[in-house]
Amino acid sequence: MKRFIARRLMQGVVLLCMVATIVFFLGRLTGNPVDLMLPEDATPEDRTALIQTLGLDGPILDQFAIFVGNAVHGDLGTSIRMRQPAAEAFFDRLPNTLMLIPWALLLGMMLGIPLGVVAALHRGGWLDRAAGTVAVLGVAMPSFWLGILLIFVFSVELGWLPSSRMGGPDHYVLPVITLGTFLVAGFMRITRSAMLEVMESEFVKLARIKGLSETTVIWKHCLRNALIPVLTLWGVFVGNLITGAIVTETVFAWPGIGRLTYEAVIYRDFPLLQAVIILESILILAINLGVDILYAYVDPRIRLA
Amino acid sequence: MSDTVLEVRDLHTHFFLRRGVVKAVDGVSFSLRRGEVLGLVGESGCGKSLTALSLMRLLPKGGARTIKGEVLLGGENILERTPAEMREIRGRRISMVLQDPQTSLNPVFSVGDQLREAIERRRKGASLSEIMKEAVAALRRVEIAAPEQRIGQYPHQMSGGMKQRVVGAIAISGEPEVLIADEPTTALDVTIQLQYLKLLKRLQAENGMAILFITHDFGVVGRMCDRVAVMYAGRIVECGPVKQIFEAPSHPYTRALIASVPKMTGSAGRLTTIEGQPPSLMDLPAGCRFASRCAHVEQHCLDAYPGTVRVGDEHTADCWKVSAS
Repeated sequence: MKRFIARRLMQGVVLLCMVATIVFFLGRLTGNPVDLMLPEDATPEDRTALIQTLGLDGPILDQFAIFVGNAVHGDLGTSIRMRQPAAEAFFDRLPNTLMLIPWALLLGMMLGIPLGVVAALHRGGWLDRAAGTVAVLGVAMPSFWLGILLIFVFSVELGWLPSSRMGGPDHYVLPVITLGTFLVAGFMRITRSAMLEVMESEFVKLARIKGLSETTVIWKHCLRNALIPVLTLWGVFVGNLITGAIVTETVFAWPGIGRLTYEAVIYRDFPLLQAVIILESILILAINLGVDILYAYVDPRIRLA
Repeated sequence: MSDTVLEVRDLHTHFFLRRGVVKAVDGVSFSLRRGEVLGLVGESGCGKSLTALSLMRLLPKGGARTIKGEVLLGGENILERTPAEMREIRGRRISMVLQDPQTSLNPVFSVGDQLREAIERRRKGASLSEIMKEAVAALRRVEIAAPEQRIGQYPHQMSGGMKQRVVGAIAISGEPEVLIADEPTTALDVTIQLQYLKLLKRLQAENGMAILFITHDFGVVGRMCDRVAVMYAGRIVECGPVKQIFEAPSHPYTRALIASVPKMTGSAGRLTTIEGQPPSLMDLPAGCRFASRCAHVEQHCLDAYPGTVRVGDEHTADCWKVSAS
């Protein structure tokens, strides 16, 4: 297990280097942030001066070398727009996103897993088809559209729920639904196919031979086995949630890292963008490692191997 | 005949598929007495396993249905029981050991957990420590060494032979009257096979259950069974005491089967085989099902199915030739 974790950490470092390189050069392809920052009547001298202050004047490879050098020492730069260390800005906003993600994950599982089980039990029947329709809808509806639709219905027309910003529990409802819907579909589909496979196995037959009730056979013996592939998806889904948060938080004016990412892109705030992407990557890598360790607890074959 | 625990009468289990009806079990009748081992022998696909699953009422998904017949367990027809009543019967009165120990145990629960579930049904209201004590005793009964340590282990930590013992312990933990063993040794090493058979014999002697032993191996039949039923294309074609079947098989199929068992004595020659293929279960002939492969076939064999003929004491066969003589 220790060797496994060490190997995964090494892979993570390699991956991070690649992410940092890509985000550095890709960001600079979008243009120069100076154009967005200066007033329209600024002189070319003002422009050159600002470029120099921001350190954007040297050859791009030199800039990259400076960025890497600082990053290795833990300095991810200062946000151009917010005049605050980029990492600090990220960690200021992170808790707001982390308050959203678990609920979306929970919503996805609470609806998706039982739906998947029910669909598998009624394979080919109308319940299966109904669940399949939910899955297709969940995947097909883009979250910016779903978010706006929800705001229109529940905030504008019905006036039941607030449409934006953080606040009490009612502020969470719409963003969580927007963020969690595609997960319902994902969890449903993977649970369904895993259940169908498990239900055919011999140990399920033996459980029935023992005279166990169908409830125990399905929800204990089958589901526990079917959850193994479901858990694999966790890592992927958390990654999706963080990227999904970019859209959802923008729609709902939610001050989390998703919206921070969006702002960094829009304002060409290169240091912030680099910091946000790198830190988000670390977050996703850490969660994936956590999932792999969690795996061992569900599947004794891994734990004791 | 009051010691008959299980009687199967004219059992028909068919697969209803889009392309036709597969008559996998098509008129099977036999009876099982207390403390007896009845072998059910036949080649792959003759309906042995489906017969067993019909008795458990655990038919595979995909169109299998028992459409006719009676399964009398202690005199009552369990085919008429509700699913809930059937669950009470399973494990407690009729139980089963499956073929492949590698897949019969749930990989994510410990052996003790899986045994506990079975014991709990019999000992409702007992404390967990009592039940676990009983689970350890159950493992000891199937000759698993150091059962106190084994009880917390998971299936993947055990060998195939050991897993099959655990499956056995689970199957008999409800003290059933009838145990169906569906090729329980086929997936085991030859050396382990013999141990397992001895174990089954011993357990049977201890609690007097009746065993329906499904196999395709005549050697195992000779070692295990009191009586044997030979199945061919969905029907039992011959049934009788093992000694009689071995020494004087009546049905040509039984004779061919016994002749095809390789012998360790005499000169090494070519292995005897049965020419041809069994008939398609979707399109069964009107006459004797073995007719197309039988060396003694005559016209009336093709025209009508022979009735069951009494050959000797408790020995019957479905063959025109036998009824003629």
